[in-house]
Amino acid sequence: MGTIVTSLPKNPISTRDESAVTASVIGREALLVARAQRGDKAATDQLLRGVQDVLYRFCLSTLCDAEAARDATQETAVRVLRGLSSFSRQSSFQTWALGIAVNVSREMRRRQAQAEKGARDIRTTHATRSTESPQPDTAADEREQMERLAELMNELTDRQREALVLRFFEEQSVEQTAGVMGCASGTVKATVSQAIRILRQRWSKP
Amino acid sequence: MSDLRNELTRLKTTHLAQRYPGDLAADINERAIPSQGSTMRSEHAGTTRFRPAVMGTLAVAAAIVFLAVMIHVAEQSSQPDHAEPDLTQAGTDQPSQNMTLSDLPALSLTAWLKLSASSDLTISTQGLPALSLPTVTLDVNPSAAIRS
Repeated sequence: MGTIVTSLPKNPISTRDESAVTASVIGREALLVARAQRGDKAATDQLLRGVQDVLYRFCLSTLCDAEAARDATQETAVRVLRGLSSFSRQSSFQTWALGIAVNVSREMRRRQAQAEKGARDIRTTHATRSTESPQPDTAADEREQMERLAELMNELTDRQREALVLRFFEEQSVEQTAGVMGCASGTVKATVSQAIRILRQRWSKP
Repeated sequence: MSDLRNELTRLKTTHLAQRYPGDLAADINERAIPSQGSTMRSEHAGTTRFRPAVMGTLAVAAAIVFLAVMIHVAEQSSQPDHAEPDLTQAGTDQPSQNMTLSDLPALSLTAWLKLSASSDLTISTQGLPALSLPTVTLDVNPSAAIRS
């Protein structure tokens, strides 16, 4: 368990160079947000295009269904545009949009209750991509392992899965993950640790 | 069995390879952003779409109006256009309106007499069918009358 937890990505804002780049990005994003809040449609479109993949990936990982993830991403974008005027810029635009995606995904997951169908879809997605591997036997074995892991992740609670996806897959910092999920940083750490412990326990079972 | 860490890393690689299928901004523009009001306007189609709640309200209102119209029509059709006078009862009931002969059906003599006895009923004799009354012949002898 320790090896997994310590292998989690560190906060990307860790060196001076990275800080400078990040500040530049944040400054550019702030300009775009300001223009979008004044009604600039081009700026709004640019903001949406900048976050569309991360929103879609998050929705896909929580809903486990490609079509539902696309709907959730669009619904998130609609809510983002509706609330753009009230966005106070206390966090990054991506963090704020991901926070909306969290709520949308939870609502859709509660409504649809399609975990089983989602498990099939994510298996199919992973299988399609993993077959790009040249060795058929190895690919089949890898595909089987990934299907099993996807099923195990699907069995986690919503918050555990969200924390794991944001922290480990999307490489968000603890603070950013806490901002997205609307909880304290300590809660994020505890939730991620708990999720990995559960995965390890279930993974070790034959 | 593969290590969980390796599998998680592989799953992460697969996860990060996912891309939104299309252009989110364009999709949202097509989807039409709801405004503050109850309706929303599509930029591209130029048509006004209604939210489901508004559609439901309109449907209920339309159904109520339809039912009200149907009930009104049913009530109207259940009433006779005009009350036909019962002429056989003309002697006892007082007709409240004047009638022309063309309105009257063929009647027996007794009915005609009853009608004529009615004080409030004005009947024109024009157009009456010819009545064949029995001819009465009086045999009167003037001389016998003188003798008596």
